[in-house]
Amino acid sequence: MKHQVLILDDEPDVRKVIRQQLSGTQFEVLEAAHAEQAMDLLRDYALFIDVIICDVRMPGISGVEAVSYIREAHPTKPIIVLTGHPDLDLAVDFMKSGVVDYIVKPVEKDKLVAAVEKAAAKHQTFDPHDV
Amino acid sequence: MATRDLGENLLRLAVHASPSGILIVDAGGEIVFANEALLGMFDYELDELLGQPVEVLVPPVDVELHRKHREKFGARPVPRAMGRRESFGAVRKDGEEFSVEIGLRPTEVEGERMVVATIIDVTERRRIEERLRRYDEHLEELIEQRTQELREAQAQKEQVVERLIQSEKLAAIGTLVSGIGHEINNPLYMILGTAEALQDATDVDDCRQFGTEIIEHCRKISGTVTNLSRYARPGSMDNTQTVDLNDVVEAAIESVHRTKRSDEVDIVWTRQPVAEVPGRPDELQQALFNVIRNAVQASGEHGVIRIGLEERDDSVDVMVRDNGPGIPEEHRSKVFDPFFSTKGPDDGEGLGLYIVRQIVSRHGGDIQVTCGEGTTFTLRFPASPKTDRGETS
Ligand SMILES: Nc1ncnc2c1ncn2[C@@H]1O[C@H](COP(=O)(O)OP(=O)(O)OP(=O)(O)O)[C@@H](O)[C@H]1O
Ligand SMILES: [Mg+2]
Repeated sequence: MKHQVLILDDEPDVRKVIRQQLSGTQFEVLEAAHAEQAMDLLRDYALFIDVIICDVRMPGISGVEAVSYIREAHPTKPIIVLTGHPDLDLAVDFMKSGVVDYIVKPVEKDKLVAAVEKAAAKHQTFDPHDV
Repeated sequence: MATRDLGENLLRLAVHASPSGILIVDAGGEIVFANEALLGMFDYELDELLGQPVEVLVPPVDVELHRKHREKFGARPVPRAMGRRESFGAVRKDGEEFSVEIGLRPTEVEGERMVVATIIDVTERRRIEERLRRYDEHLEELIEQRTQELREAQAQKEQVVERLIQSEKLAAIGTLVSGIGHEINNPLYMILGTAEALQDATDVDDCRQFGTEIIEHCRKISGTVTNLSRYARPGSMDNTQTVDLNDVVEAAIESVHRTKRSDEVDIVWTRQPVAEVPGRPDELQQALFNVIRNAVQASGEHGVIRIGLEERDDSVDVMVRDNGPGIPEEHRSKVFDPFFSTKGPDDGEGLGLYIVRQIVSRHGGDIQVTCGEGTTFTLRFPASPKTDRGETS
């Protein structure tokens, strides 16, 4: 079965590019435009989602808050943060909160795919459902 | 009451009991009398001194000088009191030198001129004075040292402040860059992704579609850059209107009133009939707003800000005067620099006056700052040509 990647980004164009970059790989994409939607999808498809890609700057619930909610409800789901603006302090905060990777836009296809694969492998190692 | 005739013995006793040395010298400079205190002081027996020149009591180096002084004094004897704080060298029998203070009183005994000298040993006093002087010097040194330390501390503090201002600048650049980063990196990402898709595409229609998307994203970035540089360099001045600066000032004041702390100050202003100027009302209002808000922030509680309009030959001046602390000399050349701010990061990014200067120069105007009691910013704009004004003045 294909692995699922959940993309949380308020901009449809960004979601579209990520989908494009992941097409033809072993990953399938689920999209969420805001944190609430992401939480709903996670609740319904928890078993199938392997990796979450999360934007930082979003109206409403920000990326920082979204990450902390997801970490709380699904502590083993690997999260990759994708940001338009690199901020060292923020990056450190994210890494401390358990995020597996911190990627700056624009990111090339190969790099993104590699990052998602690495994250998915991590999920497999630690997922209690797989044990 | 007549003076009682005291016996000679009694007088002698009194003279010998005096704690000061008493010496009587005749006109030739020979010692004719010395009391016990003097003998003790110089360590002589009386008969060793009697008949000796007074110079035996003077250190060898001073003997010549002393003799000259004595002769001069003999020619014009005037009493000289003690306590003039002037000391002389003296020498004991064994050659040890010490300091004395001397009072002189010329007198006449049985037709012969004599001098009675009163002498006190001031060695101890001199030593104490010397010590006091040294202590004083030390104190001065100490004070000098402390002042120096304080000065250095002050200089260090100024450096820290300077560095803080620098880091505020960096913080401001940070926020700016983070905004720009987001605005530019997102469409860049879209371009990248689409170009990647283009590489793999085989269908011509798909390729066309990808091309169109890339162009769209490029336009987005270029729009962002244009927006940013609107303030960074003089843009074109198309679409200018004829503006009454009274309206501009009024609108700017109104916006300032909506900012924090503006209710603590008094903004004094009345409309003035002045020539209109060609310009962009929104930009002019922005410029005035920035200047007035600075004035509000500078003057704080009980501040009074006076705004005046004045027409000159071919221009109109807007003056904004506050009663704040003024701008230190060394900052005056920097206030128009981007990111120069002395305010906390929450209160200022240091872009206000930079933008003002851009706007003013784009309008062909000029901005001046003067500090007297408080600060006055004067913005000068060229007036519209008289024929445009539709009035006959
Ligand atoms: N009326 C004034 N009185 C005293 N100092 C002033 C006055 N106007 C400006 N300044 C000084 O000039 C500096 C630069 O002003 P400017 O308006 O460019 O930036 P800012 O007010 O610090 O921040 P910003 O306007 O971007 O919020 C201020 O930080 C302040 O030190
Ligand atoms: Mg300002």
